[in-house]
Amino acid sequence: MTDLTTSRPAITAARTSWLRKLASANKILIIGGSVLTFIVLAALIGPFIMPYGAEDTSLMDRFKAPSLTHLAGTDSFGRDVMTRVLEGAHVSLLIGLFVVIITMVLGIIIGAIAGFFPKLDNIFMRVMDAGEAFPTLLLAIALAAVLGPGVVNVVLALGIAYAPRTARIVRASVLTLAQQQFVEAARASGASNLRIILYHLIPNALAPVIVQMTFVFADAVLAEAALSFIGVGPPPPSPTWGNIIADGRTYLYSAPWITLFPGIAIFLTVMSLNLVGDGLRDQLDPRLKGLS
Amino acid sequence: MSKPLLEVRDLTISIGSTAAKIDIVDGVSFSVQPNEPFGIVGESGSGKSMIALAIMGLLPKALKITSGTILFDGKEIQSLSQRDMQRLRGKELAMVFQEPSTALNPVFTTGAQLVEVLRRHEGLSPKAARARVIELFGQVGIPSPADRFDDYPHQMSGGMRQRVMIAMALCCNPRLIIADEPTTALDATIQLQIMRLLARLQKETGVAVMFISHDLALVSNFVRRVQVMYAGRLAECGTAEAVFSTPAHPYTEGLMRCAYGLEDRMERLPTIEGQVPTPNRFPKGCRFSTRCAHVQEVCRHVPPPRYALAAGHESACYRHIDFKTE
Repeated sequence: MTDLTTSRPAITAARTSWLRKLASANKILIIGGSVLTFIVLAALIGPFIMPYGAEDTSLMDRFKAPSLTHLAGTDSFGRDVMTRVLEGAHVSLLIGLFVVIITMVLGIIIGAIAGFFPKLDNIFMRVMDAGEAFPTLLLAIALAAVLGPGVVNVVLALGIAYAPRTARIVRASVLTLAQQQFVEAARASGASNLRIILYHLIPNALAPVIVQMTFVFADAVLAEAALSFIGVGPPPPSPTWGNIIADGRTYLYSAPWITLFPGIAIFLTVMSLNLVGDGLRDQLDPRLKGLS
Repeated sequence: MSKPLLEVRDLTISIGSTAAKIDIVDGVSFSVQPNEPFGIVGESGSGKSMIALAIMGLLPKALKITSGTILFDGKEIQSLSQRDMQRLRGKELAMVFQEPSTALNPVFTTGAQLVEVLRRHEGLSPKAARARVIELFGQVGIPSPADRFDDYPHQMSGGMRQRVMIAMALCCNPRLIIADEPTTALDATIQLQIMRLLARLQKETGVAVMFISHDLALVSNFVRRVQVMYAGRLAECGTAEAVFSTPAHPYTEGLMRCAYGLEDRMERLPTIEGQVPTPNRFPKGCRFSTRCAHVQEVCRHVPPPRYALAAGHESACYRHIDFKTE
């Protein structure tokens, strides 16, 4: 008994260094995380320190190449591209964020219900199959055609398109978790089905979902760019990474910087998100725990 | 004897369709008095865990109670609604499971899991629930309970986790705790500690405890009455002393012979020949007839009834008729 009490400080110490341990064990996660943090900070602070407005046109300064005054050059209206990329990050990242939220909520609810109630499983998952059969972008284009272009519609379309995959992941986790003894123990202590799902199943099924969400975020940023490129994304003049590229594509030969810089922003964001996703997957995978 | 807290009458649990059904538990009856430590002993596959699950109303979907009744405090458990059953579970009927490592939710602290049960059944405030949990942790012998409150299950040893499970079972002052192989997954030294703890708590709180185990010798030290089961049927029941010192059923005798004492020096441990038959191979007559050393022709065809040997001591074996006629 006494050695149990004396070992307490060791346990607390192990808990406080949890973050440090996570970081040292996973370089990919650190690199991805730092790049992502940098992008988010740049998007938040950037527009305030830039001397130009994102929608300020200047006919004298059209198609200026990158220089010290215009770090990323100017576009066909003489707008500063760097300012627009930083400002555009808001919309692009927010779209990513809201798509993640919608996907997560829909995916978790549908997946948990399908996994827990065998009778509903077939109905729910066949609907998900049908949803998944649509190519993501085509579904988004179709929805945008029906509902009209706009940020909200893009988010809805992408959210609905990505939900089935997440639902499948949650369902698979719930199916195995429901057989675990702690679920039976919870039932033996009088927990209702709803409580078992919310308190015992979903929190335990979350790890793969979180990993999946980083990929959904990256996919959503890419999809927004693609949708804007074909003109069904959030409409101009408010900048998004997608519509800056769309604007610049006409001048790809004469002024490549207009497309280059939002392209780099998209590349960095998607790459860092994928790195974070890979890193988290290694970190959260119980089979790899204790190996490092 | 006062009115029993739990009364199981002629319980039969079956698997499969009505055409090809197999009785996993066949016509088992027993009762547990309030404030009584009671034991059910049998090998794996004897149906003892199924009885526990049936009492909790948690039988897997494939299994059905095909006849008999389970009365808890005079109420028939099978006829209770889902909602009433939920209120009963955890509050009046609690269970301690075999595997303390998997019976706790890995993503919440042990304290939080008990708080959750307390708040649901007793409607305590978070603060009051926390204080009660720390008190319970102390009661089940967890050292520095206030610190342990915030530990996750994986930070505890198996014995500690089982103490947490016992605290969880105790937390709403239940009237019956079913302990299904509570010590099987633990080290031999911890085993005794946990059994002593359960026995002590049983005496202190006056809760009825139903021990389910395969270890006749261990259980009979802690219970007043014990029931030995074989392949879903009752083999023998009686007071722990009677069953332990004068086993009447050949199966119990065999079990006792297998028990290995420290002072025994033997070349080879005696065993009961063969294995428990799988449910689809249960023999027609006495289910022990395939392994019994005293098997007679009648055993193979007609299941033996229960014979009373002394007050409360019963055994289901034809041998007892011969004893009387001779």
